[in-house]
Amino acid sequence: MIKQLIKQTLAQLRSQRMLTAVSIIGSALSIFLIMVVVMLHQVQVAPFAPVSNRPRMLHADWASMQVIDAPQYCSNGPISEKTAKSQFGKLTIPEAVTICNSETRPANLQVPGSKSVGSDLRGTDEQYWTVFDFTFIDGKPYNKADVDSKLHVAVIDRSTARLLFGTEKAAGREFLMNYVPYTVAGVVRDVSVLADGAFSHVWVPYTSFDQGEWLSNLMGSLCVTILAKSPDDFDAIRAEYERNVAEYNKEISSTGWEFITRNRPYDQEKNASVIAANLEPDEKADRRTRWIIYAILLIVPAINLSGMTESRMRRRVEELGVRRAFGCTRAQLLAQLFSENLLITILSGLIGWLASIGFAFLFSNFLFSQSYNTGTQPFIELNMLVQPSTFGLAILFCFILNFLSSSFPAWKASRANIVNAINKH
Amino acid sequence: MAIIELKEVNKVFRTDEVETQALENVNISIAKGEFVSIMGPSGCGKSTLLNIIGLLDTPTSGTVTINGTMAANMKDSAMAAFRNAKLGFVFQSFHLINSLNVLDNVELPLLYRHGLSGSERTARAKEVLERVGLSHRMYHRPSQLSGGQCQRVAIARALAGNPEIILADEPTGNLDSRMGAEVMQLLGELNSQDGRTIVMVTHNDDQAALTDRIIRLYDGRQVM
Repeated sequence: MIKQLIKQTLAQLRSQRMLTAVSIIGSALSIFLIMVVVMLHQVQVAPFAPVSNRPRMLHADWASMQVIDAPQYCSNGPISEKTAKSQFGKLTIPEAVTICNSETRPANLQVPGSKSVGSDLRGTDEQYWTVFDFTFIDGKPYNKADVDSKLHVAVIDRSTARLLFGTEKAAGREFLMNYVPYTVAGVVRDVSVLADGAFSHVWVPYTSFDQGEWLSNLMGSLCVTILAKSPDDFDAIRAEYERNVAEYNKEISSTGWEFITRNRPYDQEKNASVIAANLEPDEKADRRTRWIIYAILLIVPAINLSGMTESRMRRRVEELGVRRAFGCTRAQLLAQLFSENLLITILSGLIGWLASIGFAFLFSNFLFSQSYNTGTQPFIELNMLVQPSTFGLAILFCFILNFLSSSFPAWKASRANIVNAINKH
Repeated sequence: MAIIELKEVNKVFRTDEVETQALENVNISIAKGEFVSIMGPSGCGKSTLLNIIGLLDTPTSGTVTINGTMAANMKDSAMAAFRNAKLGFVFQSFHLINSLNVLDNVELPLLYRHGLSGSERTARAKEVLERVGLSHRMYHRPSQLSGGQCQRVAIARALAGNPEIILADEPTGNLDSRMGAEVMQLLGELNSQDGRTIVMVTHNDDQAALTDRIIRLYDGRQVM
């Protein structure tokens, strides 16, 4: 039956070439538009190296404080080392907790006697290399002893290694960062700016340069990423964090300030919805908005496509009548027409999906642009875009588009009077 | 025993403005194995009668009994299964599906029969194509065949499901006399050799004379 269905669909494709081509282009365009919107969101939440652990990550990119006696006065931003260690360093439930700069900062790199290279710099601790799964091409990451002793060691990405040393085998080599000598501990594969907290060109122990603390040394320039053993632990980790904050607030009460949590730390999806440090993101509203956009992007072309589907059915009315005469039930006819259309929609969906991937590669600069200090443009890799979830969504959208565009014409065709259909009335 | 029995069948076509009585008080009984032709002038209700016998249309009133089964109150799925098992249709314009080859066209009724594998369907379709002398054309498209060959394919399609009754609506109407004679010979063989009941609408007196009995209609009424 499936063989017959495919054969019949191919025969239809051949016999109504113009209509089929327009239908395929229309459906492909629709899936293309939706998949571009999906990808814009997916790159923020889907796992890919070195953020393969995103489903198990919790983020505290910012913290919020308020004046104890005047809660209307707030301060929001990254935190100091002391705050990070007090609130997060004591967590017992997670697999790992890393403290690092919440944003990269510009740095000038130079091999003495050579031209300087502008790059992005991020200070981190040693746990950073556990939470994120970087691929080391040469050398290895710095360790706890290096961080504790404020050692001037660095991990650099492959492009930076080539720019500075002309080779990616740069472990052990020295360079100047903002005129301070550093030694390369390791070289990693380049990281896209889309990998948010993992992105940089150079990573050094955050202890090796001034972090610029403020507000009684409670705030600073650091953030925290937590790697849970399982997403099921998220609530327990948040509860433990709340207890740590309460305890810490007692310690710092003399400052007149206290921390408020705003339900932090956030999982990947919620963190992707953050628009300001002083607002708790509403990821459910964001999800609703996305699905409304998907619905609009599906319904509008579906209405147009249903007209074309009906036109295709009208040309086949005699055939449908003959099928009914020879024992095809209304339900079978409906299923056949629906399946035929689904095959065409899946073919269109595949074209649309591949086109969206091609588009994302070609126009990644403006599609995924991020505001980073050195103006680094995002690069895209196939594993960022080709995710089981995006593929699943593409198939789902094909089903919905097919349902919306073919249900009514197929239902109408299946209800047609057999004699009228055979006589093309 | 009658394999087809119509009692007091009336058929009225209604539009907003016009009411047309296509059949009026028609009573027909056709015995198993009979070859019957239906004749009458254009617009007298021959095709309407054949469509009602073939369960493609429903009478406005009256009863239709085929092979002991009353058609009234049959649900769509039951009626479709009944048509598939008991009835084969041959149309004046062949109504072959042009996008499919001959073999696929002949297999069509078998697609809707439960429990048949793909190879069984193909074997059965090849068998009936062999019978109508078109096995060498099975991978051709209908557009590559002559009118007579198309009608033989249509007969093969009607035979594929091995129905007891074949309903033919002017099967030679679009054919020249030689091809028409070939088709009539084939229908005659299906009746005489297989014992199939055949009901044929025709305008052709010579062909009608080859059948066992002629039912004549005039303005929707059965005339003797």
